[in-house]
Amino acid sequence: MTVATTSDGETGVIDIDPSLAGLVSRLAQLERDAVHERLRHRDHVIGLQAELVTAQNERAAAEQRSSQLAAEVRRLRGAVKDARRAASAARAELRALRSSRTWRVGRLVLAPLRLGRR
Amino acid sequence: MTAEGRSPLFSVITPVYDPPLDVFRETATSLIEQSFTDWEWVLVDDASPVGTVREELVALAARDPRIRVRTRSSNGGIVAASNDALDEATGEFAVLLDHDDELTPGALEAVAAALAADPAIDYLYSDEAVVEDGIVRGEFRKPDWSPERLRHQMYTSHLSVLRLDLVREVGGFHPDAVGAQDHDLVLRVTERARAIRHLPEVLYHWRVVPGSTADGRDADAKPYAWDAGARAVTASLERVGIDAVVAKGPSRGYYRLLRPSPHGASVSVIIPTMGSRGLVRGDPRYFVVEMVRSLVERSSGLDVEYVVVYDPPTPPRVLDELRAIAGAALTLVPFTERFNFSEKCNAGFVASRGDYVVFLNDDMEAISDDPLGQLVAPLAEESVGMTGARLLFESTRHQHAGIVYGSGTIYPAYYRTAMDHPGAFGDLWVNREVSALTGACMALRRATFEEAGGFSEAFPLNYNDIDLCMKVRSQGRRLVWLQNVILFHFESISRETAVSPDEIRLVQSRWGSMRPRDVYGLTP
Repeated sequence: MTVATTSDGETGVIDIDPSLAGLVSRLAQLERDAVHERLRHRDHVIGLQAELVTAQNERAAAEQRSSQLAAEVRRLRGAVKDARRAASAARAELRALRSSRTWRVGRLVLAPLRLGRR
Repeated sequence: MTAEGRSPLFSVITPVYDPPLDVFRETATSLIEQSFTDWEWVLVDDASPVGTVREELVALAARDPRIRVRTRSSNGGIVAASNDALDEATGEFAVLLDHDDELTPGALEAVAAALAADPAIDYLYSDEAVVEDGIVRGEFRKPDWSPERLRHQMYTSHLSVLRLDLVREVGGFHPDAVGAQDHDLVLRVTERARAIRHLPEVLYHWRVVPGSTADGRDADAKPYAWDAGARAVTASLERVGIDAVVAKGPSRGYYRLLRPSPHGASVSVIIPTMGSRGLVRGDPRYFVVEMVRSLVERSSGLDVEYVVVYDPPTPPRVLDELRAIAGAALTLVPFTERFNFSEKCNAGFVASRGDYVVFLNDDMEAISDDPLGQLVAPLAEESVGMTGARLLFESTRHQHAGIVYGSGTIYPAYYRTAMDHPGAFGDLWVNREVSALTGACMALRRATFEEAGGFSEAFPLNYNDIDLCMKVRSQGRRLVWLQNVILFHFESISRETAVSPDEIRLVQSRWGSMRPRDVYGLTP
């Protein structure tokens, strides 16, 4: 005699050949193993899908951040260029000033004072 | 209608009855100075006894063509006045603005942007602040859409924005709902809404004015509202086919749903155990034995099987005592694999047969009546994927009241707060949706557990419950914490507490880094 459960959940005692009892028990175990495997596979698939979505979201966030940083770099480069232009213009103005007649005359007039300070 | 003869996006609806004029002028200013200008304001004077109110409204309308005033010849109450305003409205959305409250700067612009992003939105609500004398007394940071919570508390409140066609379809404000007319309308609209959106920004100032509901010091302000709310929730439950009785909650404005135990439902209680022993209230006990005993003593009308998944160290006398208590309802499943909590629970599941499965730790004890019936009853609603319970330490302080996933952390909400603590805005007084529930006590439909792939065995010790919760939520289902299902959780000292870096990495790779806030508004 053995207790058996049908596929729709009905349980009862049946008269079964002892040599088949082991097979029935084994079959029940295989069914349970199959359900367990199905859980594992579903979890694996859902996990992969979730990781994909998360990765896509993180990539989108990273791209947006990258875009913001690129814009900031462009802005800074522009500022550096402007600063260099301004510095270059200032140097040119200084050179022009020093080579002017006014500057040369002034240096000549003030030369005795510079000698006295030394 | 706008000056150009087309319908505006927003019809701001305001029934007016004898407001303090200085307060009302601030209300008007808050709307007129909105950066978003595509609105009309429909004011209905419900026969205010003071003539200056009517004069104020007429003067206001004369200054701005977007403002229209209708005057009732006799007082009909807030519902009648509000419905008159709806009759006059020509916009796409109704925006509910009380005559003594304020919109924050940029409120309508924020709402318009949200609506433009999703044309299916039929109902939108925002966060709000309670303001007295210009000072913010408190902010209500609300959860994302929580229908179970809405049956226990009118939590969406202000600012509420509803699609006008849908408002008219459900019959507008209901005459029987005076005092809870907004709650009733929101219940009706959300039963049919295609999409519901929560804007997590404070867009509304609910101002404390003597006699207003915001003035909690005036306990008699609108006492009839509580009864009206109970009727509104009852009617809503009937419309959506939920079997429950509505009772008043612990304070005005709160309700309790009493669902009957699903008679004859097959429930498998799955308890992983090592047969550990400890002291409770000074007395030694085998935890799993007393756990099962407390459930057997409190379960009736259900077809329950107790599936105990035990490791080899479990003493034989424990198994004998379990057989004595549970009899034919007991199924013992030996577990000889290396310890993996997820695998152990899944092993219990595959050996079970119930239409509902309840996972419980062994170191617990039921306190409330019919805990199993109350855990599974809400699962009759297809959109509810999982339920959980209020768990208390032996000291009766909270061990679990929902789990926060966000704000940079995963953490049990209201951890170690007193059992009678109401929680912020009644969090601990109501059944409510949460981001996650503890695996120490969770109930699901069998089909939902299978669909989600069970507990992930990639999480052998920690975060397996968080991961299962995320999987269930990713199926579009809600997790509901039940305030009325109460158990002690003694958290036996044998529990492994260390979290491996691999588990942290896996949960983040699956479900992302922590969001800046928990979507259900819980605070750690």
